[in-house]
Amino acid sequence: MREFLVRHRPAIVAFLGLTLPLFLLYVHGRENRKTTIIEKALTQVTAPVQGAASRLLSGLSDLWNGYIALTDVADENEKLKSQVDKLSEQATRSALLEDENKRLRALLDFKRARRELVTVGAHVIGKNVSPYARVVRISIDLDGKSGIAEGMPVIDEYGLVGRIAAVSGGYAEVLLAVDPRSTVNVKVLGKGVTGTLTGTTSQSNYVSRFTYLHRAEPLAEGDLLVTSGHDKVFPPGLPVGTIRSLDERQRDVEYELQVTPTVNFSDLDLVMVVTAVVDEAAEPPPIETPQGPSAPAPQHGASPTNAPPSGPPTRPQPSHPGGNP
Amino acid sequence: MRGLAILLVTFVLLALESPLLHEANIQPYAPDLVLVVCIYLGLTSTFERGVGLALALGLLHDGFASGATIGMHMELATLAFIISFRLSRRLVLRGVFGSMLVALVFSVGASLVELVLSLVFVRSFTQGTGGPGLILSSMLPQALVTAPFGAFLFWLLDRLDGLVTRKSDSVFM
Repeated sequence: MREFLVRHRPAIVAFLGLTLPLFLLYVHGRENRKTTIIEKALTQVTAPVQGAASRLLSGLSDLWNGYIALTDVADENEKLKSQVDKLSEQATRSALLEDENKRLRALLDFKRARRELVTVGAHVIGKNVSPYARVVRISIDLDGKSGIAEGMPVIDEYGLVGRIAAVSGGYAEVLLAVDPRSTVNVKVLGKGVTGTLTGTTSQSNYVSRFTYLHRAEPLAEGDLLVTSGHDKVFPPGLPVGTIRSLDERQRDVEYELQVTPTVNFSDLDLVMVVTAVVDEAAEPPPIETPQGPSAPAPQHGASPTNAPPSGPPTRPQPSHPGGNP
Repeated sequence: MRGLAILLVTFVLLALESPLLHEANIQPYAPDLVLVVCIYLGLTSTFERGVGLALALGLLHDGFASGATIGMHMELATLAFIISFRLSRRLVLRGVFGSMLVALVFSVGASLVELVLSLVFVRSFTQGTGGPGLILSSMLPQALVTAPFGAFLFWLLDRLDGLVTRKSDSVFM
């Protein structure tokens, strides 16, 4: 036996080396499974390092933008060097603070408008490096004591971001709403049209596909799509996207339209995980005109959990709808 | 010692890869660093040790690649190592362009294997639209991005080997 093992050692090693990954692939490729211990362990090892690398590079980038890039100017004019450095640093810092302030204010407004949503804040620390998946890794602020679980919706001030796909300690992976594996039940705000929103695998931009059976009312470009809540996964009334064009495609009895997400996925930084929906009377959201001249007015008189959404706050539009992946 | 050094260097490169690519704004194609390291291991390592190292590197890659199915990169890394090991007597990294060509060919092969493995094992792969088509369409750009990094990594690992093992010979011609 021992002689056999010694003689065929390379073949046995090759066999084990090729079958072990296949076994892991089989286990992790199944649908509707829980996060395995291997995934948790890997996340525990890689996420802190990735987070540290991200912070380090961000710091170096800030240093470069705020100081080193200005040294050439300083060389040309030694006398003004210190002034230029100080002013530039202050300007950069104040611009960053202003930007952060705007985002936090928008998040606060969103939280005030949707008081029934119990949320936990999180920072995005890693984005997918695969062209096939639309997944981001987030660091949860409460360090593992937040009650975050798989399937929980993730939002930002502009609307639905996605859902938690895997959790480990203070880290989680979010399957974005534009991932082809994601399906969300949605309705067209103010019109009697419901359907499902599925991600697409478009590489050039983040686009989703709205599939529906029939239209009660004519749709228009820019019509706002919000979560319907029928799937019992996402709370109703979260802005998801706007109808991009009315070029309809028919598949059997279903129709399809392209949708531009309200969230800028290429600029995700702060997000909120919805951990629970409480039955509390929500403060009526400010009535805003949703995007586009033809967008419908929000409905009134709905119950708290069916509270009408305000249109997503306006954000600087990326060069491509939904941002570049 | 040598294996640990290679593992550490790859770990650091993988940790920096995602934030660096986003900072440089060259998404969505990412170079397959682990694949290149495994080709190098195939040319320079013993079989048993190389398989173990390729498995560990693949697992690490699975951990860093958000959304990847665990086992996918392990299988690709082990396959790349075994093929590179079997070809090691014939495969010569002749200069920068030779190294790039080897990395390019292996990257295309890895994409094809990834497509087959995804179709067989990953249940959600065909649920969306265009999953297989996307792999096929991004196969060449992915390989073109991997190729220059391949030449750089071969050089880096060769230097690292020189430092750790004080060897004088090189896999480069």
